[in-house]
Amino acid sequence: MPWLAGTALLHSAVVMEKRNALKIWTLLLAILAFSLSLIGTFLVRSGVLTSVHTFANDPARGVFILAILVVFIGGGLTLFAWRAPMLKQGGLFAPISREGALVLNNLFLTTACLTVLVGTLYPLALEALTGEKISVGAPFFNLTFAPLFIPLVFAMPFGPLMAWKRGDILGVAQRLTVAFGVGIVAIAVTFAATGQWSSLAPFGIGLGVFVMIGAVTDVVERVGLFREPFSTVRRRAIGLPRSAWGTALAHFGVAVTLLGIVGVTTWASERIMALKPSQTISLSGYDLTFDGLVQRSGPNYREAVAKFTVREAGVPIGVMEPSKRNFASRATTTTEAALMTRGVSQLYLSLGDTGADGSVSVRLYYKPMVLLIWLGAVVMAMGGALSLSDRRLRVGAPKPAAKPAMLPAE
Amino acid sequence: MRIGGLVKPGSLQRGDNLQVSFAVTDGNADIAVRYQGIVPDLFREGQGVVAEGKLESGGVLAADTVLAKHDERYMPREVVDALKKSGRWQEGEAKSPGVYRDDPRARSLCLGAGVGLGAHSGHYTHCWCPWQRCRTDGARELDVADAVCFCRLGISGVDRLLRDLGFLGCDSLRKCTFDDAANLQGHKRLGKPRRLDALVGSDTVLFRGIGWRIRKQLACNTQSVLRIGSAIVDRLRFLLVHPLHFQPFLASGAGPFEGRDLNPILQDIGLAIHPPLLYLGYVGFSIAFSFAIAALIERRIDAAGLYMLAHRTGLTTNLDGVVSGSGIPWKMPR
Repeated sequence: MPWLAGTALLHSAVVMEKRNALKIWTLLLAILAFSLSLIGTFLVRSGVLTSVHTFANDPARGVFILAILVVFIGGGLTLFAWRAPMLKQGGLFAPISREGALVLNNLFLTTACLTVLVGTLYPLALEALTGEKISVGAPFFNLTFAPLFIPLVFAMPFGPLMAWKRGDILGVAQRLTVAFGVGIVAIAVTFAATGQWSSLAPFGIGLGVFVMIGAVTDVVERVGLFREPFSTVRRRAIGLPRSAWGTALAHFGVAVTLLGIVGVTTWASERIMALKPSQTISLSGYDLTFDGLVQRSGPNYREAVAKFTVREAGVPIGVMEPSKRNFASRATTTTEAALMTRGVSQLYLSLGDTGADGSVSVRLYYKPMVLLIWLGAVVMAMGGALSLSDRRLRVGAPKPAAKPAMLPAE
Repeated sequence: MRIGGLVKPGSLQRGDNLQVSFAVTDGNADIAVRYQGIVPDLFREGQGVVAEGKLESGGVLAADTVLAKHDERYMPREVVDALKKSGRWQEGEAKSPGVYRDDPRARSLCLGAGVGLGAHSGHYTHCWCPWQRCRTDGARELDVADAVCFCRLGISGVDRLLRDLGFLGCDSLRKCTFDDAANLQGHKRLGKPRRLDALVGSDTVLFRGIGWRIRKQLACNTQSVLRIGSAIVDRLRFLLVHPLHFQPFLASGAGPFEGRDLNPILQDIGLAIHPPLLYLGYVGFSIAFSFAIAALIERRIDAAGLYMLAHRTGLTTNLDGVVSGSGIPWKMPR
């Protein structure tokens, strides 16, 4: 929740900075983002909810955190209610404009945030009020998140291309023609390659490619590539504020992540099998031969390591060594899965029980394009870093005297 | 459907091709569950379990997910509720085996040991701890949790203590085995503490004479002045000698009690780095929050500042996404 609110804050702060509008909303988001991280702490640490992160929960601590919540959230929102109306509101804008696009972004993100909040707290409220127990899980979030995020992502390339104050959606759409085209080609190619409509995967890929090209289009349009002579393009590229590069890069990263998510959810495969030594397990073109079990000891554990030779089309490409570690002092066993990276895809191999006859049960996953998810996040982070290094934000940097006349209205 | 309860002892059966069947019970009623696949590491008879799947016509749950406790202390909420309902819940059940944490005796002794006993080798019957004043004839009173605390602190002589107390070859954590203790302490691996012992042994005699002066202050139930003296001296010796000859990475090779500290799952850098990054992100939000509060109080807004802060938090968001995400899939396969 805080991350969704934080992303919304990131975007509304742009409007506030450039156009002096949405001030009150931005402040509210700043308060909410922090409040939500406190609420998250409370939910997990007080023992109200049980999650993977429930390590050190303690009702007494919960009460303490609740007190902190009252001070920070209660105080923050009270101050907001009291003082916000006194803030002067700035710049008006038409619904179709850069500001409008950012407001749209905010609406989607805050709705998504609210959805999570409801999904998390509704069962608690219901139990407190009626004693009835329900559990809200993946189906709820799958159903509610996709309809929120698909339009959000689709609208993403439009935003940066839109002019401030009053935008021209037809003009923007025209400039995105190439992106549309490539997106549709991507849909067709994916469909031709896989032959399946049912999972909507081709559309996901198409959407990802569209956003990707859209982000590139943004930069291309700004520097006038293919339209202006090279010297002008170079001058503009240098003059382009780093925050603009950052935006494009971050949006590109979102698209990369999207591609990864679509790839993994659609084409991931897994197989579970019990193997005796020298037997082979095959999945998605990879053959893993079980060579045998070896005992090793680490600083504070003993482990049983299963050695596997991985072959692709008969050619050995590496060794995978998943293991079971036994921490004697804590009486805990952990599974150390092995992983192998092939391009942007990965193979995971995790070990189950070992049989008396030297056989092991293994679970093999093939996760195509999974690395794109993390790479996309790295690209987003790079975008963030780039816009942080923007000249305007440097402490002590003199304000630019005037904006270069060639740039579109910033 | 999602059901929670305990795996009924004696009900677990493994078939061919990784077929597993067991019964989940709340003590009153059972539900049979069948599952194909690898059950979690902590899946055991008599332990809490959550199964998700479809209920078939014969009343058998065909599970597609089986979750066991994520560590020893974790008990799924459903399981707790089910046990409470059937009256089988004992308060504090989920907290075992954190003996050394929950038992004030162990804690004080631990701290006392840390302050006072240090390189104690032969005089463990005189344990002095600031919280409990004195535990003289304590050898029998020391339980293993205490001993483990000693181990944790890398205090030598614990092997002997454990042997005397008769904890050789016990199997549960509460009764940790001598081997484990010695392993923890690093004796077998490094052998360094021995050297330290030899070194401090000579100092003991030297300081033993001043013992009687301090007897009243201690007000301990002891057998002899000399022995108190030696306890004090041990303490002094620890303070004097230990810092000089202490090799933090060798002498105290014990390492923290629970592996390289923290949950073993967090030992991979991919996972270990995500909590600090998360906290960084939350702190980032607190800065944006402070900015907002300042703006409200001042009734004006420094837009560029807020923008920058928002970006900074955004950066952490993304980094965190990378790290926490990349760690989880291969560290926590079901």
